[in-house]
Amino acid sequence: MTAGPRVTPGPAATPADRRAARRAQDLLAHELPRVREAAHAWRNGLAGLFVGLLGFGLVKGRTDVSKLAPPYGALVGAALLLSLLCGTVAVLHLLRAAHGAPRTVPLTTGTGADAALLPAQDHLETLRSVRALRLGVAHTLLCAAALVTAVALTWYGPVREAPRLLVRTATADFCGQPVRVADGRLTLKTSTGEVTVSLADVIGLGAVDTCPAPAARGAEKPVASPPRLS
Amino acid sequence: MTGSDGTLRTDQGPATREPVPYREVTEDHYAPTYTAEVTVTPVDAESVVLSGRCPRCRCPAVFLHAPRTFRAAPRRADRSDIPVICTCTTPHPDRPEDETGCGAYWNVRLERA
Ligand SMILES: [Zn+2]
Ligand SMILES: [Zn+2]
Repeated sequence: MTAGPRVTPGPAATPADRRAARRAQDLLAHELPRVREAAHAWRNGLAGLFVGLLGFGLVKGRTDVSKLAPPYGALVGAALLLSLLCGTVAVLHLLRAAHGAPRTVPLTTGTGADAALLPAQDHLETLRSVRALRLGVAHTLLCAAALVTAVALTWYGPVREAPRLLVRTATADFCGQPVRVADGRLTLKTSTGEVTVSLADVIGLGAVDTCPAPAARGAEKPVASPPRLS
Repeated sequence: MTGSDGTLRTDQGPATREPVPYREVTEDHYAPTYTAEVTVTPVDAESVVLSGRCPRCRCPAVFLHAPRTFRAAPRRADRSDIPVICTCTTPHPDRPEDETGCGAYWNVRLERA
């Protein structure tokens, strides 16, 4: 005697109980074809969504990812990779739900518990298919979201900016986009306007991606002090 | 109570007499007769297979109880009273086309260990 579930006599039955039992048996008898049918419908609907999405992606917009400022180019790559992975998982799950797993099921020819579970196989397959269908739909939507993100970043992401020069003189630091070098003088376009520095005064020079914020560099050395125009 | 006639029969039921006619009926002794000899096999966390004999027609009948199915109104989970119907495959006389079993029905209470 195992300590599994057991049944005892229940309350007196009524015709309503008979109808409920009848309906439950009916539902269980047809649940697997119904879930397969639903998986087909979902697959077709989601395929339609992607046809529309791809058509939209081809409309117009920037197509060259290399013009994007870092790290947006890498983000586009990550979004596309995520989209590819989710799409693969989604397709596998949707096919799993619509057609069943590509594997064989051991035929239980024995007696006892195995044989008793035989009528429950379709019900278990239904539950697995419903789970696969839910996962497939969720991954498809995630795939679509990642694809839209990649397209949006490519279209609207900030463009790569020209490198900035950080110029250090004995009196002050300047940072900006180099405009020209002529007659021994360097002209920078800073956030506060154009600044010209004599190259003879430069004691340090470096290229940076972005200029540090003026306030972030301490108070002992004013950055935006009036430039010495030579 | 196991096997009142003492022998294992096929799903043709007791061979010595004609199958009982189809009647949608219940009797007070159906549930205790059924539960005294039924085998309960858990399928998963919530479903069970009841393998036993119909207390009316004495045919073997397997009954799958699953509270959850695809696209069906969810049943209340706090109730463990299961309505059971005869699901035997014997051709009982007078049975409508879309029905199974002999028409007998009864209620059992499922208790989880
Ligand atoms: Zn019966
Ligand atoms: Zn019967």
